[in-house]
Amino acid sequence: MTERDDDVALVRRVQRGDLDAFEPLYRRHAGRTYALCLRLTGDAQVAAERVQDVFVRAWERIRSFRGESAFGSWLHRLTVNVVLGELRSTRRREARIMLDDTAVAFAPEIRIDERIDLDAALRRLPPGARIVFVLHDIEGYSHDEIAEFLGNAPGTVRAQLWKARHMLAT
Amino acid sequence: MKDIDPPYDLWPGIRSRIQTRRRWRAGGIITSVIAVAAIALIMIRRPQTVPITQISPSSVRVIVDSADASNDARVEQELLEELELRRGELRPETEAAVRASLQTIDSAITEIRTEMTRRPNDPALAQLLAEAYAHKVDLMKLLANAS
Amino acid sequence: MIALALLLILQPPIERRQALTPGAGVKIFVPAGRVHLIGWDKDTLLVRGTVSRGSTFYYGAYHAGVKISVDPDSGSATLDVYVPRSSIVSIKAVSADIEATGVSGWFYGVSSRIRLDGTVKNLEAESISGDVTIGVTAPWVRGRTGQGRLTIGGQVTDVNASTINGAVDLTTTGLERARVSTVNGNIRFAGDPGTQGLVDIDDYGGPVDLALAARMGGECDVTTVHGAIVSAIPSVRPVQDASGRGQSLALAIGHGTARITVRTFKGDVRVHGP
Repeated sequence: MTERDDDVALVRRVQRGDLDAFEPLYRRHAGRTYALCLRLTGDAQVAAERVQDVFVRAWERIRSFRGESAFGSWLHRLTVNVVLGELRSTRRREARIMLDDTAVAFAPEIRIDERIDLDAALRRLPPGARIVFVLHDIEGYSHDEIAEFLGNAPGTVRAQLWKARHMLAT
Repeated sequence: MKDIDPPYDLWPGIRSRIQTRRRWRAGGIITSVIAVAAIALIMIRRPQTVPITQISPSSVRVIVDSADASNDARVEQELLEELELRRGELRPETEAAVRASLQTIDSAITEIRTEMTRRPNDPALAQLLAEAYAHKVDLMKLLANAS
Repeated sequence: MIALALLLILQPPIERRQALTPGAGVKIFVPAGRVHLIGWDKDTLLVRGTVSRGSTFYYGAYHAGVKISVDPDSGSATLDVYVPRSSIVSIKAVSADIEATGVSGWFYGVSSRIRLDGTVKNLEAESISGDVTIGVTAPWVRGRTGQGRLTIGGQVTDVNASTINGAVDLTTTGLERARVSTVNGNIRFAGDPGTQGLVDIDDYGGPVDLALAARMGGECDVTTVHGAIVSAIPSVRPVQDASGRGQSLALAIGHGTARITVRTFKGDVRVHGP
């Protein structure tokens, strides 16, 4: 039995409410899901929280998985939706306000990573550029697909992508 | 790109959240079952209706799925039948208030459902629809206690 | 002449007493008129009042329970009922006004006006078309109306407020959990969830006025499918939904884990400070 067949068998059990069958699915796909969350968010703790959100959402939506694509692909798309959805609402909370009208800017934490590798470089990108770069150059989504995810125009996506590549190259 | 292991095992947290949601869903089903049981009590027409006791101090968030649509149809049918049975007992203004309330709720449900065909995965719409169903059950309980 | 007229209308005054065990149940049915309940520190129940001519006053009591009713459904009474604070009261009325101070239990009126205050264990108040006003100190409170106005103040840990068309006005402090829901009523929320409370507000079509308490620490998320959000807080602006319909607004306030979530379908939302 291939891994894909095994996934399908487990999914069928999960669709009947078998929570024990969900754990092996988690174990098999956690690494890839976490990697995607980490690259999109740039923060290890936030990425861990997003992974939990993704698998809880996957449990709730499992009946919508029909088996036409691989479970991993379905989960991947779900992950992008969950992470981007949370990023959109987090971005709106850019000012942590005190109700005595003193606005205090809330800056996302910048982590400094000693490893010189792509992951570290990604974390130093601004959020918008990082998301577009990860989705296009790493995960293989098209400009139009990314534009639909983000609610932006494809032209904006291209501009962000150019910016990301330029910053990574310098 | 290579996979990256999470910094710690996330499964216990995931499992706990799923189990909590399952308990909420069970509470929502219990609420519906008790409402239907209350309707059965009314139909037997006991001399003094026992008030529907609260399930829990904070209301349970009703999870919407296809079962709720058929529950809603059943609640609506029972409510209309109860109004007919009570036609001579309720004051005209009370009956009118109940019918107006039912119409308000039904209009809301129709509009929300229509919007959900355009946005099937919108969580706010799902919650608003669940609340509208819950309002109909509440209206049934208000009417049931008016015996 | 007036005395004669009153004699024709009223029956002899009522007075009944009963010693009760702690936690005794008291059931009351009064169609019309007025019922005033007072929680006191004595371990007896005392009911005083008058019923209108043509009405029959029923009274049954033993150490663990009391039943008081006025028949028929067109009957009317004016009653003052003193109950031990530990008693649990269930009172139902058609149009009789219900007032209670320091009394726990369930209060129901078809078109009754219900007013409740004092310190209680818990209470549930409902009216199809009457107004319900609650200003108690209690662990939990549930208020429900169809068309009537629902007003909840006081200090309550867990509040559930629901109307169909009636306005909701909630100014409760000490909230750990609050659910406010209406189909088309106006909602005014000026409650205080502190730094840990969770508040959910759902309003299909009516407007929501959200006053953020000065002591609140946490986050606030507002979503409307077809309505508009107005923010009176500097530097906080709503965002248009990607589809072009609806708006949302998310902000962090002070420091804490409290959370206020507001959802409307087409009701407008106004967000402002205290």
